[in-house]
Amino acid sequence: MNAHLFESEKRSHRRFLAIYLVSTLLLIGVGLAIFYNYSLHRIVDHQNETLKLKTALIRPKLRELHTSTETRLVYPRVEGIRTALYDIDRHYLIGDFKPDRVVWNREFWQEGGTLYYRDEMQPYYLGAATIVSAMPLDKAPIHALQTKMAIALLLAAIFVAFIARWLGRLFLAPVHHTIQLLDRFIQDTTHELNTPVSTVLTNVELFRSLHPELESSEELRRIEIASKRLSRLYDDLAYLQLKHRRRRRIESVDFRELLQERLAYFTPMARRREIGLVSEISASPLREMDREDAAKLIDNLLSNAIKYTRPGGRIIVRLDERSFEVEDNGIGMDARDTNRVTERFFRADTSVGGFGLGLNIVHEIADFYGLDFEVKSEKGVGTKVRIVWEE
Amino acid sequence: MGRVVLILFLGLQCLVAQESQVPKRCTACHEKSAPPLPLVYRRYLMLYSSKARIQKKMVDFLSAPSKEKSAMPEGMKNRFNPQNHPAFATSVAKEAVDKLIEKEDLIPRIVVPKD
Repeated sequence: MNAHLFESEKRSHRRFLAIYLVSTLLLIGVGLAIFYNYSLHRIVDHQNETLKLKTALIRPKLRELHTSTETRLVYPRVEGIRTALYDIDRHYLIGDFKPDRVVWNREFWQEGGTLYYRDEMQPYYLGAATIVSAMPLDKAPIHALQTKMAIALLLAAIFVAFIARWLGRLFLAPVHHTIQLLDRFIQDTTHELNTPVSTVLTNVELFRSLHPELESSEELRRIEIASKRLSRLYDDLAYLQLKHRRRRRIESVDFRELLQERLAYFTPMARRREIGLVSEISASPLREMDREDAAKLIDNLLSNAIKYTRPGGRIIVRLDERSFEVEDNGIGMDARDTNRVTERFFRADTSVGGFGLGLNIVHEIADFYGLDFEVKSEKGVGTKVRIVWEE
Repeated sequence: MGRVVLILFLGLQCLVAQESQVPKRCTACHEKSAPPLPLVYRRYLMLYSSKARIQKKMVDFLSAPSKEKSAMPEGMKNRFNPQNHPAFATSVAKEAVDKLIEKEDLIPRIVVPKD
């Protein structure tokens, strides 16, 4: 499969990888957790058994003491454990330690790093009915187990990551092929569109100069507007296909002058749709940009605003030292659509023509020049797009 | 004044005599014909564990001695006939048992070796 992936494929691939990795690792994690828990219990059980066996060693020694006639008796100790004796009424008698707490309903229990064992005695030598013994928990086997678990998890993660990558590529292959075909189709269509659109526009101009009496012809104007629309579509598609290869000529662009020029270009279109195009220009900022990029940025915002504003509506274009803003009182969008508005081929309203390229191009240009791109929209109220130059 | 001192002296004598009398009466037999007191105590300790329970069992027996109430092994019961043991008032028996427990308690005699 071709190593080059389209952005949407990369996104899908990343999502697939994330879902597959998280779910698989979660499953492996649960399995390892169960195994860890089981092994931990086995380790503790083994140590409890040792404690029990050692505690049993004290019984015959207590019996010896009970029957001893010596006046001084020495409390028996067992190596590695500590013991305490309690009478049948649970009063502490004697021991080489005194537990802070005895859990009378359990045979074994653990507190902190200490294991405890409670053993009932019968007969009660020295009056002891219960022996409570304690032993520090040996953490070495637990640490060894934890290390093994960590290594297992790491190896599983690496293995799963490889599998996920391979599976992801495998599943994406047919999609990639389809997208490639579609992309090639768009490229070819774009290429084929250029000549006829240019021909129509040139001939409209020629026709006008040859027949000045038809200057105000409605039919001619319609042809011109439709051709300009086609021409812009061609420009957008060409821009997206060539954006990485196109050589930009960065220069000081007088944004006011350029904006006025583009407004003049769009005014007939707006007028035809009975949309008021108001400009509030309060500055003449000079921006270091490629002129074509700057024009495309303005064109796409104006074209979008005109497209999505109902007849009788209004568009306000603002320009000051720091920002450029296009506000309309068109159909607007809900929050979900507003978040997706910069996606290529996304159209919030499919009843209106277009390819969903405009704001994607604006976003890419803003990204390229490090400009802030803000979209605020409310369904049924309108949309405001603002481009802010960083200080 | 002399009379008061005499009464106090005699009263004290009586008390001392009574206090020491019970153990003396006990040891009189338990050192010769009856099982030794340390042995009896350890038998009760082995069977009843706590001081409160030992005291109760011993006082029960001393108040109304019988073969059934005795905690001693069957062989000893047959040999020493516990039903022939003299009976004592509960308070006297209790006092004597307390003294016995205090004297024969094993725990204070045990030394716990240091680490």
